[in-house]
Amino acid sequence: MSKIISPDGHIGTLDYLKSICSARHLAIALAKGEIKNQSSMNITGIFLNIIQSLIGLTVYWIVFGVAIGIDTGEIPYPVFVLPGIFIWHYFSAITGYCSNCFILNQNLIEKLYFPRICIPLSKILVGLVDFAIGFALFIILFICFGQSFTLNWLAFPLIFILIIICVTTIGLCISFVSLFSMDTARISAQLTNFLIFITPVFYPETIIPENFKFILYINPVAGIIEYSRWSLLGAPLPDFKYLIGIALTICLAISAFFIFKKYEKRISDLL
Amino acid sequence: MTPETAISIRNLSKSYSRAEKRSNLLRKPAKNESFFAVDNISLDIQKGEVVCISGHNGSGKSTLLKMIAEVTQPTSGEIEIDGKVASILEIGIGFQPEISGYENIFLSGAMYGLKKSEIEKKIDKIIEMFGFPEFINTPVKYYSSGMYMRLAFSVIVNIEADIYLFDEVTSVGDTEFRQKVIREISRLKSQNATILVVTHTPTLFSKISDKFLTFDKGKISISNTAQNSNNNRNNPLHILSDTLKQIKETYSSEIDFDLVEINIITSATDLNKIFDTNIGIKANFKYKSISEFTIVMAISDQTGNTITSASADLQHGETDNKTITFEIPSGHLRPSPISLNVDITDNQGKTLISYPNIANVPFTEDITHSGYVNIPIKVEVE
Repeated sequence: MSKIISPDGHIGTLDYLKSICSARHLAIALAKGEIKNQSSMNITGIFLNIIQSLIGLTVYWIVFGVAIGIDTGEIPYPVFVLPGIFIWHYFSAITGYCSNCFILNQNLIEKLYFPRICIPLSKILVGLVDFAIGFALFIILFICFGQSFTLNWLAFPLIFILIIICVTTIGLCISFVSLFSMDTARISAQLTNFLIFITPVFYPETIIPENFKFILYINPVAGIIEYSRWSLLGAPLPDFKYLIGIALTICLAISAFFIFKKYEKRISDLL
Repeated sequence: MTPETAISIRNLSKSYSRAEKRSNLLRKPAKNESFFAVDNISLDIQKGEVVCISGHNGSGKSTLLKMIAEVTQPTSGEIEIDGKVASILEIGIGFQPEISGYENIFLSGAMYGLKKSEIEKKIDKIIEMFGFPEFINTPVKYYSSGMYMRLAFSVIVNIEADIYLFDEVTSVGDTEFRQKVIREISRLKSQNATILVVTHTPTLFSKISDKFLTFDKGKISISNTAQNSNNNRNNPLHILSDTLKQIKETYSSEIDFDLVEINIITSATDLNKIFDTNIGIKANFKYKSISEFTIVMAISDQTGNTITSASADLQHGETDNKTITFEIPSGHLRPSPISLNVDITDNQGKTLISYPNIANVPFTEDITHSGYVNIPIKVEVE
């Protein structure tokens, strides 16, 4: 059983999948280490996280729900806005983590070989902690505001898988771009600040005029938020055109996988 | 590649670009000048062999290891590897400071491709090797650097692999740690592992290595096995004026002094027997100096510790090809790898020019008794 290292660095698709699979322990271990490192896992950390979300939520409620008076139908505004916020937060956190994950782990990459894709993948797991806290907070608010669970909740695991796929795609793409440009971190931070306003986080999609809706349709995050509102809040089933954005993301996910496969051995030299 | 070969390297090269800055979105990358860090190397390493690689900084030894470890890709050529590789290019890599030693064992084990169950089997052994079981649940940021190293090393030697790559593992830690490293490497050797060690102190590995390679500018400049070091073709006993000139050029040109040639003269034809005869060191000078100066000749071991030295005062004036001879009578130096350093100092003892490591007497076959010099010791048993 001998292995040949040659300049072309070609890896078979199946071999690559296998190597990622066998490196899953590493991705999990990296994520665990980082979660603990961020010390957000201790009691104060979780407490601060919840306080932060509550403050944010109150501000949005006052500004959008009370002052501007966005119409969310029968659903109370805080319950309406929370799924959007924690999903959006997950996306923006991953964008942040992945835009410098290779640079922060440069030392590791230059000293040890493991499937490089593990680094952005471990960040996806790190982001899940905040996601889970947000979700728990949502359930509490949901019950506090006297909402009742519907059968649509059963679809949420499916939507959750979709969220993971989209987050992974965005994480992989951003981390890959960051190999070529040091500015990725700053640009992506600006972009997420702006994109939140063309995504139905604070408002329902119904307030967008029909001829601008295509912006939402190609935005996978918009689709995901709309579908999770349908599932969690019993909002009407969103337009099937939202699937365009999600289909685009899945295409991107597949290309990202192959791009990583192609550049796998070259990443340490690109840094 | 025969079944006995562990690593077979064929025409391996690696070039890096000498670009000044990283490119960014708005600027095209600077013109690409490339240089070869590893330049067309071919090498076969047999199973169970310990290979010790040394060389100056930037000579390409670490790059070679990185390519074998798959961290970086070769530019051309091929490496064929038979067996599982454990690459230890840095000790303590990937440790997370906030988490406990126990959890870091699992983290760093995962990095080397160990499964959780495999680590669980070895955890007791690792903790025992670490030697501070009471600290195992403390975050590693509170560890002393020595403890940190020990923990990291305990994990490393418990990775089961066929080929181990060590890069500068002995440059950290204290003497005890170094000895531990050597012990562990010889233990791995006894289990028939193939080991590549990159080091600046090859003497440490002289007893356990089968092969010594010296890298220079991306090429293997000296390759000798412990068995054939006596028919070494490169004569280390004669230093050319070019080398001496190069060293001098790094100093300011104000010093009107030229060391033209250094010869180590010995009647021994066999390098291993050099210590059995008188060793004479003859230096030819050309100098023009306004003040008096002193030439100091020091013999040191390969870690740079001076074993002994001698000096000669020279008068000012102008001379062509003056010859100074230092002679060490036979039987005073024990056979060990030594290197020769020549310093030119002024009469206040300030060093003007220093020629470090200008001659190396390489590894000898028999380094059974330790020590550098023979001091008559009276031994009495009653």
